[in-house]
Amino acid sequence: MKLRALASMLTLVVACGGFAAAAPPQQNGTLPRGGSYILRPDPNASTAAVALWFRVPSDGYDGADPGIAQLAAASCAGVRLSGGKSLSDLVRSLGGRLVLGGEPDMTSIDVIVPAGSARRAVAALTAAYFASDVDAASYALGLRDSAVRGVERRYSADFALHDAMLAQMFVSGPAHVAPLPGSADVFAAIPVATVNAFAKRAFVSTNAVLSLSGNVDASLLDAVTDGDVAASASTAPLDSRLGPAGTSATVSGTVAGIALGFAGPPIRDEREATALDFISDYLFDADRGVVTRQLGGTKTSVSGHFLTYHDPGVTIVSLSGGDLDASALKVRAAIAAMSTPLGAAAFGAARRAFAYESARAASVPAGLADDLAWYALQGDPSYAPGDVSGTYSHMVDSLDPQFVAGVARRYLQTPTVVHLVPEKGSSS
Amino acid sequence: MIAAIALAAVSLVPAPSVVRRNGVTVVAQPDASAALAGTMLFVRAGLDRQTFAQNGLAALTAETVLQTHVAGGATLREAIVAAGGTIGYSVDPQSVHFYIEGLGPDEDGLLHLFTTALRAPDFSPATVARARAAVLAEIDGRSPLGIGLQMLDGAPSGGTSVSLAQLVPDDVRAFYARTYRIGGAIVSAAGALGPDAAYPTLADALAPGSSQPIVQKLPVVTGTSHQLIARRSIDVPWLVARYRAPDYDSKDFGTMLVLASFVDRTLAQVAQLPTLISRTSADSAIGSIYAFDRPSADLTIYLYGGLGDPSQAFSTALAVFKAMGAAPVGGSLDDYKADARGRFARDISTIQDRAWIGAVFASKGGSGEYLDRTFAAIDAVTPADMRRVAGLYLGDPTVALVLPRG
Repeated sequence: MKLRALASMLTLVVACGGFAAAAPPQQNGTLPRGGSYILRPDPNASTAAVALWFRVPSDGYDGADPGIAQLAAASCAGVRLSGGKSLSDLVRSLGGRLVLGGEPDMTSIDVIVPAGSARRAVAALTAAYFASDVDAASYALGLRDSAVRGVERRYSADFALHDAMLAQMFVSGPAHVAPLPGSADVFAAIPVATVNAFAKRAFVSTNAVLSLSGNVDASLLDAVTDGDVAASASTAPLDSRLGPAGTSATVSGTVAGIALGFAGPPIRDEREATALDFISDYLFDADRGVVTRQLGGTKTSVSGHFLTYHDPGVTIVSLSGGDLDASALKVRAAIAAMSTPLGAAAFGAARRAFAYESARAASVPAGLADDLAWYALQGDPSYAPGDVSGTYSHMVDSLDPQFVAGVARRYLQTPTVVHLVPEKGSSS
Repeated sequence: MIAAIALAAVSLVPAPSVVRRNGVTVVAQPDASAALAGTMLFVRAGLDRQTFAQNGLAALTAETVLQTHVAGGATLREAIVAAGGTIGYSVDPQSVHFYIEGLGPDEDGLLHLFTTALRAPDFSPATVARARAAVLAEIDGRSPLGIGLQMLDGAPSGGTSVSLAQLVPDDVRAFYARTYRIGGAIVSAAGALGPDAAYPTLADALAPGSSQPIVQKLPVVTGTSHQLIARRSIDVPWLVARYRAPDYDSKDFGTMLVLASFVDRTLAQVAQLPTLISRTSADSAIGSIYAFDRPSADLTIYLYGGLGDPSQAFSTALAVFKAMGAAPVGGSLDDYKADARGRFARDISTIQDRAWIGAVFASKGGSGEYLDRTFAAIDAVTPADMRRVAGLYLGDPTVALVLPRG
């Protein structure tokens, strides 16, 4: 899930005698050496968000190197560019932030800089990846970065449960393996030459979506580095093979938790996917969610999301903290209740709240840039909640109680269950 | 220097419009590319309007407004959520500010619900009891860092369970009648604002006139080596220290922003945070908060004990800051300036942030323009400024320790 489209708002005229900056329309196009860009300016924004996302398997093209995509991404950010600074150093010198992220089938590099600094960020970002050349020094920096982030992820209940659930639901493919392993040894086992070869194959323009949002304009596209020509690029979404539903597993980790997982529709079934977004919001929103409020007085923390992957999407509900078994029963009862249509008034209020929440997530440049990139790489760019087409918002408006209940009956019946149990000596 | 001049010559974002009428300041930042609209109302009903014995009354009164029934048996908070929006409030030293946000076309409807409650707040025992429970729940849910910040404020903005128990509906009614006045109010709106939007007249829901602060002052904890200690059910300690600081209208504002970046960098070094390619969650375990909007502005630094024994790192950092007034600042001033610019820009990235910062910069009769002005102030900082301002402000802080029980 991410957001809701803004198209209906774009025609609004601004008010009250204030200076109203014209809002250029969203631009979608092709990068010089393939791949795509999405430009969504907001001249009122104090920051510029530049997101470079790649469609790559997190564990390598032969599935033999868990974590290689994140290691390669971090290493490239540490390579000295022609100006003498690495991407990481340059972003820091601009007062910006560099954030790496990973899904089984995607690697993201997000840069957020103050207004007025985006051009240098775009040039360095595309140079670091489109013309990558990982050496021993940048590899060492990448190792350190990946190892620390991997350990942090291991100690995060939500991420640990998310990774364990995908590994249980999918029997092969990148989703079966955590994108950021929790052990430094796993990264250290990948030689620098392998990392460099992976980077040169994976981080090419044809695999990329460059998403620019906030205080940006079309002139920034001139700063894109053309880079290397891909020898063989993978332009199709990278799916994983789903196993049978309803299995359960006990997995050792550093935190205690329970996850429930349900396979959902592919991204192309937009209305069904939106219905599952709605259900996740209705049950698990941090403030309004029915389940969240129900568990408010307990020791349990709960979160739930529908992840809009190419095929299939996945609903994951994570519980951590205390009282886990009792809370899991309540969660399952609440999910089961979604198979009965909500009353009209309750549904209307929930849908309005969902529409607002969806738009809120896209109201900051970094969130919007990420959403546009995510949906583009998953094969349905116009369905991105922040996309100017308004597709997502139309889907929200089209939901009714009967349809939502039908989607719950179809997709939320038999969960896969993962129990995460702390290893001896680790702390919850 | 040339780069700085060039940057200052080009406006990075449109300046807010500011209109003043009938004692109300109305700030607007329309954004045609925004889906959301947000409106912030500042009322002079903050902590300085309550006595020591009324600790928590400002928060209880604001919460009572949110607990007032406005439509079909729903409270204001429930009605706004059901209409696809959110409402919240914050109690400041001088003001309470409410914030209402929703999709652009819905905002006027949300503001209508809000003004309904403002015009006829419900001070019945049942409503005040619900409000008290909500304020207590907020106090109970406060993070260790939040506890440390409130300790340094001298009094918790929401009061305590004991002080709230002493407050009766008549106290709330009287506080509302005395302080919820149009004089000195600020309305600041940002985002998808329509041509006939309702926000310019939002403060009309308040009674005419203005209120005065209570002469009895809140205790300001300053001086040398003050230490406040609280124990809570937490796993590891938090260390928090507060310095006096210049406010946003001071000539030293830009320098303090740059100093805050130096402080963050120094804390990271003494806490031995690894310097990584990308940002990780460990980076948020230390840092500083520069509250330049307060009448008594301050710079608060914090360090989370989960990174290892924090006491040595903390004392080292405090010693470094104290010595800054007498020695050149280490590291690159340009890097600190860039960091300060980035940090300021990121901190005002949401619609709510924009509404807030516009109101702050318009609050003393200013233009409301914030980004170019702040960036120019940062760019103008010299090494001599750093030493001078550090010497003025980064002396002996007040320290709050939030420690595990037992």
